[in-house]
Amino acid sequence: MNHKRIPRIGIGGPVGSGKTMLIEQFVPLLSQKGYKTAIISNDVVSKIDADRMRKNLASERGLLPESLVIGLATGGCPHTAVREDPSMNISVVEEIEAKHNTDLDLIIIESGGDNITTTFSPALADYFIYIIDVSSGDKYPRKRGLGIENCDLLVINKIDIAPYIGADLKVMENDAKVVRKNKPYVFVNCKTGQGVQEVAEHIIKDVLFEEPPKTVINKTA
Amino acid sequence: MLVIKNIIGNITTDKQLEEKYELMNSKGSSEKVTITRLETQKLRMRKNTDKGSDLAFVFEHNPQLRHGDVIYLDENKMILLELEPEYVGIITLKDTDKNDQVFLLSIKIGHNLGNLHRPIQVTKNQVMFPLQAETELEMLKKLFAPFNRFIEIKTDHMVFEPEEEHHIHEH
Ligand SMILES: Nc1nc2c(ncn2[C@@H]2O[C@H](COP(=O)(O)OP(=O)(O)OP(=O)(O)O)[C@@H](O)[C@H]2O)c(=O)[nH]1
Ligand SMILES: [Mg+2]
Repeated sequence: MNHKRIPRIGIGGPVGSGKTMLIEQFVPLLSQKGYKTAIISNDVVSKIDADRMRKNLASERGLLPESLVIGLATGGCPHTAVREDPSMNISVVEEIEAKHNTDLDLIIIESGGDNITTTFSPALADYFIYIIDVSSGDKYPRKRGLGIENCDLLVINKIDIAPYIGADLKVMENDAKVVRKNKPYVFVNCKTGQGVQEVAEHIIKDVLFEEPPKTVINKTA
Repeated sequence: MLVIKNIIGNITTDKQLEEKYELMNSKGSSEKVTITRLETQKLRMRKNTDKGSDLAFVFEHNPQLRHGDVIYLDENKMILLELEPEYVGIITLKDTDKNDQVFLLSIKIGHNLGNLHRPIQVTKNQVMFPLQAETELEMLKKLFAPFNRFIEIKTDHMVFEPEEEHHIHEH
């Protein structure tokens, strides 16, 4: 490796829990602060999530170059591509790192929708966000599982629909406290962006170490 | 924010460092930072010590952090890294001498633990591996029921460090 590692976060969670929408919500917040990001979106066979983010974040809003939203169709078990054999993702990440050493602050990797035991290989991602939603009721996070317990940040999404499901957010919050010990969790609504600021703050503190954006550092240097 | 880029040594293998730790600890100059086994290979993370020091870990290669690593040392301060204890399963082979089935048993036990994607730690007649929850003990007892006469299965809450760290697939 002759290039410097760019901080990387992995985002995992069950199918449809809001991984893509969460990225669509926090990338603009990081962008406002001057942080430049790249996105890799894994899926089993399709690339529609990557296409959607490229359109929403790159083409329409110009928050990042279109070439930095990359879709990866991994086939097979989604978690193998981010944990057991992350070579495909790592080679894409390293290609990005080689080209964007001086301007890129963060690489975001969305895993394919998967079961509750997903984690990211530490060789691939430095920080792991696991996102669940309230649509299956308030039994999660009490049911635990590797992702829910061990991720660096647990995000509980779709709080707007909790009343329709009969999911008690208070119950989920108490369980999250017990299961996660001192590790953080955040309730969000990715449709409106409610709570997402807090997610961005965790990323800035725990992944970016509150350092200024690279383009700012390199300009003054 | 204190940036940690390398490991100074480990007090369980370095006698001098252990003495240094005892000394500094007695003077109240030691701090501890606790991580989980799953975090031992992270290249980048931010943590607080028990006394509130703000640490930023930045490594170029897999650091393979270990229980007892000294990650910072100056005249006034030593920071020690600890692993959080977790539930482990322990399978003990009974009566090894008389057991003519050792080969078969070892293969079966290894096959089952491999199927569960667990890292292991092996001693002369024992194998240890992490449990995701204490409740897994019941599942294990069922799984190994045919071998009840030859093995004992129990659980403990302790720091677990695999033989050699390899890619782990736990589900
Ligand atoms: N009501 C409500 N719907 C949401 C919220 N967040 C996401 N959704 C909807 O949930 C669906 C799935 O969202 P995605 O962001 O595509 O989920 P994902 O986890 O990326 O899905 P996969 O990648 O296919 O596993 C979409 O139809 C979103 O509109 C929310 O906070 N509230
Ligand atoms: Mg998606």
